[in-house]
Amino acid sequence: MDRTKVLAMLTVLGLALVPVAAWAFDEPFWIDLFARVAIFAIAALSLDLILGFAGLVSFGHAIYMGLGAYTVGILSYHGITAGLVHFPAAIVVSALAALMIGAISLRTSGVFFIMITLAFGQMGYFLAISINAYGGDDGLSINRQSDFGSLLRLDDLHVFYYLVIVILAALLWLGFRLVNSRFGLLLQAIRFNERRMNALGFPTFRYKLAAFVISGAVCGLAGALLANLTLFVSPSLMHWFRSGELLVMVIAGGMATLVGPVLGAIIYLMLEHVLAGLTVHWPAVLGAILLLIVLFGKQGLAGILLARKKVKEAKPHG
Amino acid sequence: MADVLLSAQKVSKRFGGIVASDVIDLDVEAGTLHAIIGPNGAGKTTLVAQLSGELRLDSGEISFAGRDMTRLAMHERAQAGLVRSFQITSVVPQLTACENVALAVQAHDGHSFRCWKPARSDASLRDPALACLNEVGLAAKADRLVGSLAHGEKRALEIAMVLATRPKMLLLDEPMAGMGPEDSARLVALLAKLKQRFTILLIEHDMDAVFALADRITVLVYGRVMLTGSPGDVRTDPKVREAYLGEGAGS
Repeated sequence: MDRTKVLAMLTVLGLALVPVAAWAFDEPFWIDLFARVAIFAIAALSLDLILGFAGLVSFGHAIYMGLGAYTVGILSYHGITAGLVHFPAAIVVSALAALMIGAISLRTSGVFFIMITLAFGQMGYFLAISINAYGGDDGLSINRQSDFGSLLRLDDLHVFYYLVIVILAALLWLGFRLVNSRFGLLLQAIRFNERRMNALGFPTFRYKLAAFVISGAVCGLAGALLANLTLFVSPSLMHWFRSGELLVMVIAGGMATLVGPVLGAIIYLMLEHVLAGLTVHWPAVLGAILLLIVLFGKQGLAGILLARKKVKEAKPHG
Repeated sequence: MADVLLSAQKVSKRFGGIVASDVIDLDVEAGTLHAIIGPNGAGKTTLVAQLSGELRLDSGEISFAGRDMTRLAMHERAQAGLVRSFQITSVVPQLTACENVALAVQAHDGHSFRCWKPARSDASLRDPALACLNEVGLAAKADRLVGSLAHGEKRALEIAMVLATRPKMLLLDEPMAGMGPEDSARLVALLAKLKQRFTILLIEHDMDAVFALADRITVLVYGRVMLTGSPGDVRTDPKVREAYLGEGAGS
């Protein structure tokens, strides 16, 4: 088994042990913190598929997280509490949004692609602000977690935490399968040389769009989980700053490694938590630390952890 | 006259005030190796881009295997069997030689939404890819990263990728570009072998290679067809000698 997968397993194992540590050190808040970390890890993982593997810098990825969260919030607001409705709906809504946004923005590339995805993200943000029926600027409180009956009680934080970890582990596993499949290799080849793939006969647009939709759908799932954790959704979920944070998690963690974004989410949110307790100037310190990570390892944190003598021969995938 | 496989009628393209291709007519007969020569700036690259679908025509028509292709996109033309190579080696350096060719196999067999099975160990991709590598003499380098291959080997890989798409016709854009004499000789031998199985349109600067291989030659000057004929016709044509070959060429 290759080292990236080993690192992924260790990371998931570490996250799975958090509740034990929280119990041992009597810090129950850790579970809440790491549930948030794992949810953002899922979102960052979804971004890595298009950013790391397909080379598409989406600067509006938070919109799918917001849409997933709002889907849960709005359905709850109208009295629909079934988890079997919430989650599929969140995934479908964000997938459809990704289909529409991707169909338009993937016609461009480079800086234009970044700007268009940013614009769509901000449209989502302002749309959420303007709809007063669902709280507008103030956001929307959710009465209770998605209802899966007595089998899976999401209002039990331990149950919820392990559900998130299982989903994260499953997505990592699916991700490793995907990026080494025909589809995954093609995505990576498109990143390096789209024109050539076109000349070989690949309708590259279609494959990029498919990746974009998968990515949006997974990010929407993360949003639905986040709504269940915080029981509150607000427009700020979709603000471009959130999209920027996701990009930072992926880049600092290590693009095109799948496990990198998970590490990125851990390090980013942990640093934010620790530094915010120490100084009000925490973003400056955080920025400096992230800068160092990126400077010392081109492949981010995962690259540093996986570094070996044969750096040059290292393949850009898992 | 044999069947015409690729036919371009009155193909034109201008970039601002510059006429890059000026009502070009070109018929490539099935089973032949047709070469296009011309000095720098003659519009050879523009013509390749037009034939392969990368550039839209301002006017004119292109048909391939009896089918109108004027409005087809690049990937659709490749699917139809007209597959190009690139003047600047255009492979994925981070993948192995075999993985590059396997992508070309994948382009042809149409199952690229498969998300589950590992592609690298997929024999239905790897076996045809190895066969193509073998054909161009790269079998021994199959599992080397492309970045570590020599220039001549990358050029051969470029051709292996085209072969792997099972084309009806090869559109080779300066395959000898940047090659030393030894590599060139090897590639000429390869093309001589391939021309027995494929129709080839060869854009090339290397005159020795062109005259050794071509059944027909089209001379392009300033975006216009100056002459189309057999290598003998072209070699002895006074206008061509003056415009392109220079004094003493071919003698």
